[in-house]
Amino acid sequence: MEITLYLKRVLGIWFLLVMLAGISVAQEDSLLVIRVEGHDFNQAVIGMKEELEDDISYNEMIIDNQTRVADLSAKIKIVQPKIVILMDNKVINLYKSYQKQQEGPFIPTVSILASFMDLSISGLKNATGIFYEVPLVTSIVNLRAVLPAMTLDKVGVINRECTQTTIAINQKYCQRENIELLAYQIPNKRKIKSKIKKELKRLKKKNIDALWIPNDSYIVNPRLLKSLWIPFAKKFKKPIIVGVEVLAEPRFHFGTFAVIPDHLQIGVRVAQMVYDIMDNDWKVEEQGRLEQPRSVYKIINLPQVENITTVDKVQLKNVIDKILK
Amino acid sequence: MNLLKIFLTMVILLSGNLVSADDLYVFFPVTTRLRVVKEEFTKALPGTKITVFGRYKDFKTKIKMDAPVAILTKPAVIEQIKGYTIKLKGLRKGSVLEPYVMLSVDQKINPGSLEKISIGVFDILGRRGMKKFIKKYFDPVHGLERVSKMEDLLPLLSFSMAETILIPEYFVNYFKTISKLNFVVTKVKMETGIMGLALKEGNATTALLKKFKVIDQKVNKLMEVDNWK
Repeated sequence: MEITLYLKRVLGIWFLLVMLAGISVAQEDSLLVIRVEGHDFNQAVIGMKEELEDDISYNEMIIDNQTRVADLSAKIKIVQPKIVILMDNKVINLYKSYQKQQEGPFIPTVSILASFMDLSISGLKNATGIFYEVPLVTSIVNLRAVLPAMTLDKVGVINRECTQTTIAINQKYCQRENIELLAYQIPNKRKIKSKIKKELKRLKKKNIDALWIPNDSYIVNPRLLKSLWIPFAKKFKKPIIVGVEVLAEPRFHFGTFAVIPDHLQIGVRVAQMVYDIMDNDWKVEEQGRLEQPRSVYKIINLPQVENITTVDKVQLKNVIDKILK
Repeated sequence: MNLLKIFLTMVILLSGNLVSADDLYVFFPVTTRLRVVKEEFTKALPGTKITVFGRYKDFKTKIKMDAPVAILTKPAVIEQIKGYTIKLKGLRKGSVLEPYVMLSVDQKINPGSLEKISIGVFDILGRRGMKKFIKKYFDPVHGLERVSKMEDLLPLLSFSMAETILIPEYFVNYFKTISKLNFVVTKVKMETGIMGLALKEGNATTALLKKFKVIDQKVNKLMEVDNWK
């Protein structure tokens, strides 16, 4: 009788311990990053991991062209994430297909490092994210600092009709900094080259102080760069603001100033957003809300800019992250 | 042979002491690139091994792994780092304290009613530390938006990600110089130490303290201080 009682007690304690262990495991919230391979993605992961504390366990899935929704589904089943971080357009599209197969409530997602983010996450539920493209105003504010002799009040841009919403947002931001953003639209697909040529002529007549080239592969690609943009830049003699480093390389004689997102800091910011969502009971505070990238990396094409105007050498050192010579 | 061994051991020990005696970790909000800060400090403090940090977490982690003889940072940060005592305090216009202000666009901020607004801050203490630090002065606060570069506070206002930024008054001019936003300054009841040079407890070195008292004004300007006491 005593032995049975003893066994019951031992089993009871053991059961209690198992329960407690189970609870403590379940209490550690899981995060799943779904991404593709690449340096910029690695940087964002480093930033995120540095900021995340021990109370959230980090999990990762790297996808490629072979990855299917079923693979994603299996990974999510294993990890049971409280939140999912999506990096790249391909990943977001795949996750959208996964979410369509699910019934709510939906796991919150933070999407980063994907172009045209507003269009990209459209339809995704319990979603938020950070735009990838750096707003023009950030570039101009920094360029003003290193080129004090230049007026940078009127900037021109040529954009496709489908990006008009983004351009309108940029116009609003610019206005607050007393910058006029003169935008001329071209059709989404047809006769791109001839339309750009025509609109560039119109912009030149408006006496713009600088030209902004948004990241749109229909507008800037190797073919158009060679046949249209580089010949134009030679005659333009004013700053050309680009959104990728390679376009500011001196050998191309094209971009004057490149402002790109700081990928590490984007990762740090994502971790902060994860904690905000956690504090909000794993719901995004505002469905579909997107942030602008707040931290940027500034690159200047020094030979090109010195051909145009006088550079403040002290400010150059203080403000610019990378000086291309 | 034994004498040679003793001599070599002494040389190694002495050289080790010399290296660690002038090991300084630097972390404070700046408006310039970190490489410029490092260059200027290295020029001004020859023989001192300078390591400059841009983020509190990196600063704290490195101190835990490899504690230097001296740290140069905000006094509020030194309070959180165990084993260091402030030996010198940075002075500006005769005071060791600096007042803070709230900088917003178009509209003034009511510091007594912050429960619905987000505040941008330079992160000197990490997620939990900043919450506690700000709570000492303002409570409740809806949200804190932390950045690790002074310049990153501007996008918070430009893109309406925060209603206001909380900064030392000294930095108002910096933002007015780089931006044409219609800034509005709200004075708040908050003062903190400007800058502190702290030595590892039990360390008797005074060389660094002497160097700091006569440090190049260019370096003092980077730290936004006039002199040291």
